[in-house]
Amino acid sequence: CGWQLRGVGGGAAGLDGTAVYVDGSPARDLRQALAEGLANSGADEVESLADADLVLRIVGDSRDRRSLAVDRQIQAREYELRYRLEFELENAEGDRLMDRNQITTVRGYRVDRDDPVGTDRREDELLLDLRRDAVRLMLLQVAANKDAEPQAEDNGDTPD
Amino acid sequence: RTPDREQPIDLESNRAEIDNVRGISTYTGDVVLTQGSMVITGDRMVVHTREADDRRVLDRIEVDGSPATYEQLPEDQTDKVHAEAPRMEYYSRGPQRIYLLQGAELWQRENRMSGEEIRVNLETQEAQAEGREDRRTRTIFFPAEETDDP
Amino acid sequence: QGPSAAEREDYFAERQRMLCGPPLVRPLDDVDIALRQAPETPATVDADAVYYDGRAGRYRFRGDVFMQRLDQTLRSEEVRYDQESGRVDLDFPFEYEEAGLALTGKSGWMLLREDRGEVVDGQFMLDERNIRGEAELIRLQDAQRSSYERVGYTTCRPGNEDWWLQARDLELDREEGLGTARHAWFTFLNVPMFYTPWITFPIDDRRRTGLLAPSFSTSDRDGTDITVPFYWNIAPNYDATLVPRWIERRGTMLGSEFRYLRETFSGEVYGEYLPDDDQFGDDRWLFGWDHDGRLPLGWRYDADINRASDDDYLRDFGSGLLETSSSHLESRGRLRNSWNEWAVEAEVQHWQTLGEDLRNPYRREPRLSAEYQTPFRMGRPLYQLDTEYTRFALPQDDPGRPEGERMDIAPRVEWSFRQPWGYVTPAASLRHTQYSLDEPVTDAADTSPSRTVPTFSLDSGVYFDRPFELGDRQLMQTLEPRVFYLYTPERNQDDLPDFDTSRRDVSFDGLFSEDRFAGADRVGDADQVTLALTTRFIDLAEGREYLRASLGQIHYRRDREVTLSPGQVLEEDRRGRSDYVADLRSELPGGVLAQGEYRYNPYDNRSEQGAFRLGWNPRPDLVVGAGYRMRYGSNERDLEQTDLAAVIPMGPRFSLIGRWLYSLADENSLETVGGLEYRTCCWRVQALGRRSFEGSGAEPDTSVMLQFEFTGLGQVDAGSTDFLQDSIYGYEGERF
Repeated sequence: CGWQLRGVGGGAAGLDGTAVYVDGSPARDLRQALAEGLANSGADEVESLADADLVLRIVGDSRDRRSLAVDRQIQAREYELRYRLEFELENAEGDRLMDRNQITTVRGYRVDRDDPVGTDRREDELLLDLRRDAVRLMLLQVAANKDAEPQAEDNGDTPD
Repeated sequence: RTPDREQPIDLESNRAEIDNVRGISTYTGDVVLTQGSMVITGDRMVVHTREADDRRVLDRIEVDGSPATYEQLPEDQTDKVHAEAPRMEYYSRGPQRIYLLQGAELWQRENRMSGEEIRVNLETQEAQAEGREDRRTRTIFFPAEETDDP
Repeated sequence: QGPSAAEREDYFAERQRMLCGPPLVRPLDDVDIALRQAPETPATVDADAVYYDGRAGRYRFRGDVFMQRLDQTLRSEEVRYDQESGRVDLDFPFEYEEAGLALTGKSGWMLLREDRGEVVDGQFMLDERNIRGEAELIRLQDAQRSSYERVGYTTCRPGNEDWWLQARDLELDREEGLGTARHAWFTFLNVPMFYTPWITFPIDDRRRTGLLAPSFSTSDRDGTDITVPFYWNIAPNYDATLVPRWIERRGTMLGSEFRYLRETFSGEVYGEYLPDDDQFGDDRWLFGWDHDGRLPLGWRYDADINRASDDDYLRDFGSGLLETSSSHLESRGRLRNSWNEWAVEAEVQHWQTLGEDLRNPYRREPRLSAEYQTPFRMGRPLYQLDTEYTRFALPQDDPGRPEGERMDIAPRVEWSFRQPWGYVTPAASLRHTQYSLDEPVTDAADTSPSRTVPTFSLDSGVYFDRPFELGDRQLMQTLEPRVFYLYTPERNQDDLPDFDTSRRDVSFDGLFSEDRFAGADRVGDADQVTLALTTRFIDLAEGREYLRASLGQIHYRRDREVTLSPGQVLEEDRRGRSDYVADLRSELPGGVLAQGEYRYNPYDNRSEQGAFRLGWNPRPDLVVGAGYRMRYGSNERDLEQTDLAAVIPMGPRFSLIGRWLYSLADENSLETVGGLEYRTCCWRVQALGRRSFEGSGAEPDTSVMLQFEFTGLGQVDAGSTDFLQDSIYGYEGERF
C-alpha cells in the first residue's frame, strides 16, 4: 500500500551525504542539538568551510516566556515557552541560498506556584525538546533549499 | 603687451566700399577685422572712423553675420573671451564696449553666458545680459574653479 | 510560519507610504556627495537678466532666477554669486532643494560646493520620515548636519498640524541619525503637552532614542496614570531612560533604566521608586540589575538581581500578565566557562517570594557544576558526566525543611546505531547523590544520607515513508513507531530531602524521559515500556512539515514506589498504564498554525489535560488566535480557560484589537481587552479598554489605556505594545 522503509525504498533522508559546515558559533546546547539533527538527516558535519557543500549560519536563538493561564488569585498556572531559531543558508562559494529565516516552536507547561526552581527546571527540559524540534524543522528547509538558485547578493526576497 | 586699441587694424573682405569724405567704409563677404588680439568677423561690416589729431581713427563698427564673431584677450587675463551674435556693435571709446544683439553668446573657457542682448564694457570687463520671453539669459559657470588671474 | 522579519519590515514600510503619500524630498542616498563637492561640476543659471563683473568675478541674476547644479536647485527673484568664494547670496525669498533636503527662506547665503549656508525665516523638509519644520534661522554645516534656532519641528505632512515640537534650538545630525533639541515644548492637537529642557530623538530608525511613547490610562483602582518616558543618549555606549509616572491615587513615581556597553561587559540597571504610595501607605520600589561580562581565558560571568519592596508590587505596577502573575522574583549570579567537552558553572541563586502563603524556595549558596559530554559522532558512543555540588539554605528557619549540602554525580553512556530506516539506542547511567544535612529528614534517618542507582534504557524506532500527491503538491507521509524501554531498580529515598526536585509534566516528549522526577533528590524506580506512533505530512520541495501527530502510552510492569514525600501514595503510581498522550502540530501556508496536546485517563475515563491553539497570521498586521486550555486539578481547582485574541486591520488607518481570557471553571472573564489603533502619517494611538479579574472576591478592575506614539520622536517601548505582545500570540507589532 505504498509504505516503504526510509532509505531502503528510496525515501530521501533529507541531507543524505551532504557536507555541512555550521557557522555562527552556536552555544553548546544548540551545537549538540545541531550535531544530532544533522546526523539524523543523513548530513555529515565538517569542521572547516573548505570541504563543505553547504554553510548553515546560525544567526541566533532566543527563548521567551509568556503567561498562558492564571488562577483565581491571578497567579500563573501555565507558562508558555517560545523558542526562536534564526538561520541563513549559503553554498560553499558563499552565495546565499536562503534568505534569513526563523523557526519558532512553542509549548505550554505547568507552573507550580510553590516551586519556581522546579518550574525553571521543567522549562529547561522543555527547551531541549523545542530546540530539537526547531532544528529538525530547520533542516527540512535546508534540505529543500540545498540546490536552490543562489540569490543575487543584494535583493532580500525569500524564495518560497 | 601694448593694448589692442593702439595696434594697427587689418581688414580683409571680398568687397569694400570706402567713403573717405564721411569716413564710413562697408565691407561685405567673409569680413575679418583684426586689431591686436581682437578679431571680429562677419558677412557685412560697416566701419565708422573719426578725425583725431589729423589722422583717421576707428570710432565704431557695426557687423552682421550668421553669426558675427568676436574674440579678444583681456589685458590682465590669459584666457581669450569669445562671443557670437547675429549683429554686433563695437565702440572704441566712451567707454570701449561691444553690444551683442539678437541672440548673443559670450564665453571664456567653460564659463558661458547667453541671452537676447549682451553689452560688454571692455574697459571694466563688466557684462550685462538681457533676456526676452522666449530667450531668457543662461549662464554656466564652475563654482569651484580656482580663478587663474592673480 | 507567519511572515518573516523581512516581509514584516517591507509590509509596514508600504503601509507607512500609504498613510503618508509619496516622499516629498528625493532620498539623500540618491546622489553622490563627492560629485557635489567636485570642482568640475558646473552650475547653470537661467534668469531674465544677468550682470557680471569680470574683474571681481561677481554675478547678479535678476528676474525668475533658476540655478541648477547636479541635484541642487535654487529659485528666487534675485541671486548674487561670488565666483571667488563660491558663495550665493539671497536677498529675496527663495526655494532651495537638494537630494535629502528642501528649504525655503526669506533671505540667506549658501556655499553650494560645501553645502554650507544660512537661511533666515526658513522652512525645511528632510527626506527622512517627512521631517519638516520652520525656523527663524537655519544653519547648514554640511550635507549631514544642520542647526535651527527658534524652530518648529514635526513629521506630519504639510498642511497637517497635528503635533509640533517647538524648541529654542535644534540640531539634526544625519550621520548619527539624531536630533537634539533644547528648551522644547511639545504640543499635540494644539494642546501643549509638556516642556523639556533637553531632548534627543531619532531621525532614522537606527537607535532607540528620544521621547519614548507617552501613555495615559485611567483605572478604577489607580485613577489617572500618565507616563512620559525620556531617553537620554549619554554617550555611544551609555544611555538612560527616565520614566516619570504620575498615578492619581498613588503618587508620583520615577522609573529609570541605565544601560552600559563596554568591550568586556554590558548590562542594565533598572529601578522604580514611588515615595509614600497613598493606597499602600508606604514607599514602593523595584530594583533590577542585569549584567554580563567576559573574563580572560573564556570565562563569562553574569548577574541578574531583582528585588521588589513588597509582595503586591508587580501586581500593582506590572503591565503584562506575565508580570502581574509571577509569584517569585529570582536573583542570581553565575560564573561559567566551557571547552569543547567540558562546561563548568558556579552559581548563587536567591528568590524573593511574593506572597506569605507561598513556600520559600531553597537558596543555592552556591551551586558548582561540571558537565562533560563527548561531541555527537555517528555510530560512536556518547559519554556524559554531570557532577554538581550545591549548598541549600532557607531565608529563615523553616521547621521540617532541612538545610545542607548535596553532592550529585551522574555518568551516562549512550550508543546509538542508526540506519536511514531506523535506530536502536541503548543507554546506561548511574546517579550517586550524597547529602550532609543540618537535621535529618525523618527521625529514623541520619544527617548524611545518600543513594546510588543505575538506570538502563533502550530506545528504538523505525521510519516508514509513503509519497503521495495532494493537488499539485508532492507530499510525503511518514509513519514512525517507537518503543522505549526503561528500567531503574527501586531505592528507598525517604530519608533524602527534597531541595529542588519536582514531578515532571506528563507530555509526549516526557514519555521518553529516563526519570519521572526532575532534579537530583529523587530517581524514580521504573520497569516500563513506552509505545508511541508519530505520523508526519511533509512537503520535501518546500521543506515544510504541514502536520505532525503523535500518540503514546507507557505500559508499567511494576508499580512505582519512589515519591517526593515519604509515605505518599499516588493513584497514578498504582496503575498498569499511563494516560494516553497525544500531540499535534500543524503549520499550513498562509500563516495558519494549529497546535494541540491531550491526555486521556482511561482508568477514570476523563481528560486529564488538554490544550489546543489555532493561530492565523497571514499578514504582519493581522493576527487571530484562539486557545483552549484544560487541566484536571486533583488538589487545586480545575483549570479550564479559553483565550481569544485578534488584531484585525481595517485599512491602513485602523486596527481593531481584542482579547478575551475566560475561565470556564470560575465562570468569569479573567481579562477582557477591547481597543482600537488609529494611525496617521505622523502619529498613532492605541486606545485599549481592559477589565481584569483581581482575584476571587475582589472587584474586577477596569482601565482605559491610551498609548501615543509620534513618528520620528520615539519608538514605542513600554506600555501597551508589550502588553499586547504578552497577551496576543504572534503579535509582533510595528517597530517605528
